[in-house]
Amino acid sequence: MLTKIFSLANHCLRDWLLQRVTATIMAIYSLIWVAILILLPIKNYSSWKSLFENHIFRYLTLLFLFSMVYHAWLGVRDISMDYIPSVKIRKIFQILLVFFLVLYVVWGFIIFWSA
Amino acid sequence: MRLSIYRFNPDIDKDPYMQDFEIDVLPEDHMLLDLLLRLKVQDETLTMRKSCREGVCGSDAMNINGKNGLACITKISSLGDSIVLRPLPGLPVIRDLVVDMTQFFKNYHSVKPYLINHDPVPEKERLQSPEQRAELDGLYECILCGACTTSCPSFWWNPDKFVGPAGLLQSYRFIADSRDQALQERLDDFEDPYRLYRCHNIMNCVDVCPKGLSPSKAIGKIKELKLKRM
Repeated sequence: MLTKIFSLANHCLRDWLLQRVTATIMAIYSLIWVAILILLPIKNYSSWKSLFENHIFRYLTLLFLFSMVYHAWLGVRDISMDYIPSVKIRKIFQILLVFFLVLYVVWGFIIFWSA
Repeated sequence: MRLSIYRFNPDIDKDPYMQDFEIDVLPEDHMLLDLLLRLKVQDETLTMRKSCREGVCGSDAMNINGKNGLACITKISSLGDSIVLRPLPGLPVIRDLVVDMTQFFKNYHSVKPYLINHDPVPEKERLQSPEQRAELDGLYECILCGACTTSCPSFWWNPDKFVGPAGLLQSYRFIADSRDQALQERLDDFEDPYRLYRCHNIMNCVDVCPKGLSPSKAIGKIKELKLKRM
């Protein structure tokens, strides 16, 4: 499984495309936030809470979270491919990266669903 | 005019160093190469490449005040009072401003920079419509000076794996050619995380190209074609 994740051949175009798709999702989500901040009166904790109780917004936020994490994986993996010539050190770095990114997803999931 | 020039002679010098020269700009000096050739009369050990002296051969590519360019078409008046010259970055220095371009040309050859056509050879030539010919504009003009590739950080980090802007521009030059029949083969050649996809659109290549070409755009077109056949 790990070999499949880290073997990059044949996934290049898919990753390149997904980097752009996830960036677009994040850009749209950011614009939605701008609209919310302009149009909705968010003043206190309860108004924040009611915003996140809206299922559509909750799913949108989760989609943003997944997009951000996957975008980060692709971007930082690219940086590691550029700057870490040692395959062994690069693999360790990438495993740590996946660990932290998965942790962020789980953490974000818990936050959104416990609200 | 003060010139600070990178000097390194591997037979004598342990380390490279910058040497300062003072030289008066004469009325007949227009381009940086004019100054360099006069300097070479003063100091015959100063080493550089040059040939056509009009921006066609690409021999005298060097790093001029921090930006890659051709000495023969860089106006002295555009450089200010002091000029710093270094060899092209990212390639081994042979001596002074002369670099070893073996890796650059190896990458260039790897994209099969020639027409692949399996049809019988026609009596006269393989014709193109004016529109088909126009597809090659902005591509065929590349003189392989190496200014773009050696300004690309992705090439600096992975010179043996990433083809580099010049090689990729040349690859697209043949992909876009209506007479070429190896589109799939050429695209298959980029099914690798390094050869094409190390381009992160930094655009240094576009910034420095002395012929005003856009390798970045050509790279984008290759990715677009790969996307269409996905």
